[in-house]
Amino acid sequence: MERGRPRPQQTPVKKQPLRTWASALLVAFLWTVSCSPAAEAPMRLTLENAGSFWAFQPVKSPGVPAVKDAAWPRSSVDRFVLAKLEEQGLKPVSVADPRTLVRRLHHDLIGLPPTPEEVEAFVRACSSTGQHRSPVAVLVDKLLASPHFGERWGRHWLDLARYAESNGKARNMIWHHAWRYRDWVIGAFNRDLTYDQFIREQVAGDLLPGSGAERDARVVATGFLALGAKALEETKRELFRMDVIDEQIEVIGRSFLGLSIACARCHDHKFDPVPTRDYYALAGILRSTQPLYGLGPMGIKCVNDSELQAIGPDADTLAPKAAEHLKDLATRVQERNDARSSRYRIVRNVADAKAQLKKPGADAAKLEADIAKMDAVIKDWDVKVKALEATVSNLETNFPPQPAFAMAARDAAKPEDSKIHIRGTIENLGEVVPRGLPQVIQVPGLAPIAAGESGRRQLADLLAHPANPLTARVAVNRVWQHLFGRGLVTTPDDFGLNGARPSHPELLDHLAAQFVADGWSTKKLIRSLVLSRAYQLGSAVDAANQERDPENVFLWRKRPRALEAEVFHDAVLSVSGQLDPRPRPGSMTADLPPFTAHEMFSFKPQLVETQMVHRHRAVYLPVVRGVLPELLKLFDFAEPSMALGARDETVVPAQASFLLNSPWVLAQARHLATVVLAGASVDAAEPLDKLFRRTLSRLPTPRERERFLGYLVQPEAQLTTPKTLLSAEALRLEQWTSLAQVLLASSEFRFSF
Amino acid sequence: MNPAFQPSLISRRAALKRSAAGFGWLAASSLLAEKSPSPASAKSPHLAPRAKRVIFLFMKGGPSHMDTFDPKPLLDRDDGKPFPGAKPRVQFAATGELLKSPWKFQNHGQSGLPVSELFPHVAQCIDDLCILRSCHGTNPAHGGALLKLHTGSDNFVRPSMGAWVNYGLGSENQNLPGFITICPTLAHGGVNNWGAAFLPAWTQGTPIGNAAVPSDKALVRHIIPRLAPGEQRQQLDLLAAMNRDHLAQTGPNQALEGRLNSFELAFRMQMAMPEAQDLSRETAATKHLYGLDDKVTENFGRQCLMARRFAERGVRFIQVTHSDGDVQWDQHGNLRKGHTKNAAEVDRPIAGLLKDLKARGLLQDTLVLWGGEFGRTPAAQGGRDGRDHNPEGFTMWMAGGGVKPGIAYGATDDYGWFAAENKIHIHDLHATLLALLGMDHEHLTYRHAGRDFRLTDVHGHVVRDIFA
Repeated sequence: MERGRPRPQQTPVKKQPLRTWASALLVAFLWTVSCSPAAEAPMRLTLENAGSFWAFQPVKSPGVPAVKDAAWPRSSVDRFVLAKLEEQGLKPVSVADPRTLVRRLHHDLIGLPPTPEEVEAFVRACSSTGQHRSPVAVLVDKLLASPHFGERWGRHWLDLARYAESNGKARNMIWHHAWRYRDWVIGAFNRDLTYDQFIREQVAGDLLPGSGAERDARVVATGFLALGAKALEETKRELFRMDVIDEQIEVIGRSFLGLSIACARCHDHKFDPVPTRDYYALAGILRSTQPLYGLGPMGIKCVNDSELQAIGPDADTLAPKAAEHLKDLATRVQERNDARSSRYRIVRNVADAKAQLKKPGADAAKLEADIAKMDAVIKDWDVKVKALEATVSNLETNFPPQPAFAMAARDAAKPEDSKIHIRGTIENLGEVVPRGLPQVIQVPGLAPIAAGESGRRQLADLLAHPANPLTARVAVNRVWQHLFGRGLVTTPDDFGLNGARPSHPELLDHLAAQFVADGWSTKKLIRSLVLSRAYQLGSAVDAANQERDPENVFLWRKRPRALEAEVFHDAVLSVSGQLDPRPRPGSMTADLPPFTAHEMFSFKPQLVETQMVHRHRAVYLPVVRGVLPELLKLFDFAEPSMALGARDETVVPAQASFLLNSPWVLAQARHLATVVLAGASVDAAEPLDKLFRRTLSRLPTPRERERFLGYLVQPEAQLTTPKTLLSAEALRLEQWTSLAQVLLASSEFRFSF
Repeated sequence: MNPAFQPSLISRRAALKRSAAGFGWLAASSLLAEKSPSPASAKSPHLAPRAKRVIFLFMKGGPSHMDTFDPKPLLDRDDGKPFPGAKPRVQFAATGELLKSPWKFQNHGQSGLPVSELFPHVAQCIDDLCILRSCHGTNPAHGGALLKLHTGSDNFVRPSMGAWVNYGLGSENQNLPGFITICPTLAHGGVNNWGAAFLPAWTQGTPIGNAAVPSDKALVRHIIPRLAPGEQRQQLDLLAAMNRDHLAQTGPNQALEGRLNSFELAFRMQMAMPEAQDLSRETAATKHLYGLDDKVTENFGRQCLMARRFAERGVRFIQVTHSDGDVQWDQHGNLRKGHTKNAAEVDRPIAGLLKDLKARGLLQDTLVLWGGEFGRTPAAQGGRDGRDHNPEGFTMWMAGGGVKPGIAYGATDDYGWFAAENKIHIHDLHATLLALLGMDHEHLTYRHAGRDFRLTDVHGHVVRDIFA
């Protein structure tokens, strides 16, 4: 998936070396003039001229266009798509066959491949006529109702929430409780929490009315504000604070609004209508908010610790004692380490003195006296160190009963406005800006921010407002992108001047308006999109279309694309019969001892990649920044330190090496071979059919059959293990393992078509 | 060139991002190209390249400059006295009084430059070294400083300098990655120190083992074929036939074509990598030169010898890390013992590498860079046998690759705490390194998240004074 904005082609300036901002400005301008001559976008958007730019204009409800081929469209979405196709002189390819379609729907909606039985049932349903409901609709409704839906679609959001279970950066503390946020997101998609409420709960869930489990869930949702990577070792507390706020602003801007507000930290935004003043108005709201992420490194001075949020019915009774215990532990660890250093210092001095003693002319008497004195002090320290070690160990092993904890956010005791930081530095402060919201987005009916509140509630209301021109557009574009492989706006996190323009502006607005009218229901939106003919097209290439529209901007076919890392992982486990489809409770990070290893975590990672393997779905694998599970890292998992709406799709040899030689793939291939050989006669045709059905939902072609069977009779000389050393059965399993591996490594398995 | 990469079909960056043919492909169509379809690639060769590749000898933990290449007579004189200047406002930890170097310095070679007795073998190569005594960074903690040195940023995940070099120049070898890092440390930023961040994935460093693995056991992940060559070839043929059939059915698709190539490349790498790492055919003399016949120097010597072999094979950026599983050069205490041990492990191998490169005519277009993430303080710690982290002033050195040989450039203050004369910030070091390779750091850019990024952010001055 191509990220970044489209670039002007064939313009004379491209030979010139261009520089950062200046180049972007020029490019933006050239793009405007060369590619969208009708749009008269200015070179820089300000509060005054923002209204002239499409993304800041209110969402319109455009009329559904007329089309020539009235039989083609199944829905209004189709009419918008077809109108463009006809306008461009493109002819859509025909609809995908049922086997392709059932795989596509499974991959896209729940992220798991269909079983051979599910495939056959669907194919049968499609071929029988006179049904009450379309088999596709039946399948779609089944998949939308599956608990696996949230595991698939929640993961898309986790990319944007830069979800991780460790701090990252230099002090890569494990976050034992982050997984609650992950589970909240998965649950929110499964119960189709309306998108406006989804936003509100993440930004201000703690401020919404509610009690008991409902309130706890909303508090967990605010973990969104606490999940950023932080420079915990930063000794300037004020800088630390502004950096945390900056990260929060960036994530809020990119994920909900498709706007990089954080650019305005140092100066008015160079392209988009966000003055520095607006940045610090928002910063004031977040200064008045405390992110709760837990302790920093213990045993060295950390000025940036925070609490965690206790939740659950026994939170109030257990939390104070638990917090006190933890504080005590941190103090004692510090004391223990200080004592160790003090002792060591004297040990060094003794060594020094002993070295002096050996030198000619040394004052032996004095030195020996010194040494004796120091030895006595060391003994004193020994006692103290030992006592402190015992105290620490006792505290580490005897925790009082713990409440459940969550990463979260809450209002600070006293709200405070932020001063403008001139050029973004903490040393050079300008005037105070009252807490407030970005002026470029004006919606009716927001309550003013009262003196005693942070303003987060108002921020949430603004972000979730139906009249906000960005929120719904950005959201539907993301859903579109996940289903069609490319957004109507190809820069999903940037709807500003530097971003791409929509390929189908009317369709985008139609979807945004419909989304809001349907009560912000993500499931309804997905349903309407996958039931369109446009979604169900085949992926065949048509030469004439390819010539006119090589990038398939106008959707004349389905864009084939690689399965995301998680979908690939789950597909392999699924076909090898090894998948445990149940959610993994908690996380591997939650299972780590919570405090003992906290001191200097980054020096020695607590979890190494090779441990990060389990049979549950990949969404439940631990996300430790900098130490990702191998398969995820290798297959373009989203860098979990920043909000990311579109992943890379890379093809590198390391992926091929992994598929050819990794023990994990080999083990899965062997499981798969074992499954297809189980109960099979000595004849090879039957297991081969099973192998193909299980992995590719089809039978092998005659050519494939011939080639695969040919592999089974290769010359003795080139076998890895000589036949004589293996039983016939073992040899058979080895060879079928290799065949299974071929299918797992095949493009048809790796891609969705 | 693969027809699927025609700019008319797909933007150059999109092609690079997805393409297994990334190795070397950029070198062919690269920043030297007259017409390139994206502004990010509009880089003209502003400078004649002086070096073709880099070998970065990274001493993890921060070797002490005033104990190695930056002698301080005043430190000897004022041993035990307080530092007369103002200590940095932000320090990693409290430090005590000044501590003179426990090691003697002697002048060496034609250039007469001083080297401490910690590096007797490197001292023999002094006339090839270009000692940069005025380096400085910003971050006093290992994690931040490692990231700053490797990526230019201690705050954000950014591409490492090796990835930038690889992106700019590509690999000269179709069967090996363009950026290899031998036994890198997994701590203090770990993978981010050789990562591609937002650059195309093929630019990232390929690690061979890690700091906790002895170099004779260090391997690229999954490089050992599961099957015997004949059987694997047949398996790959089966896979390729299937993928090709499928491709023919779906029509042109450069991701799928790239995939076909990637398996072939992986297959070739399975042979090329062990061949490059196989030191058995090196002569006894060469092995001796690198210290492979001595337990102390064997491990790092093997890393250095591998580096030379990768350099010969056209790898662009080769990093060799000297570290154990911890923070090897980090002598807050035990300076005498620690630095003696560390220097002994690397001294002969480094000198061996320099001499070997020179003898083979490789030194002239190979830039060797030596240094740690920071230096150490002139003030003592750890019972007057240790020094703290010091990013304010420290020494790195270069050799070969178009730099002036046998000079010392820049200076720290009289005690070695702050860079004082001709200061070289990490950004300047990066700008200079790119310039030596023929790239202008202001024009080697990559468009990401709406702006063009550089290794040097908005900083960096090329230190032309050291160009030969």
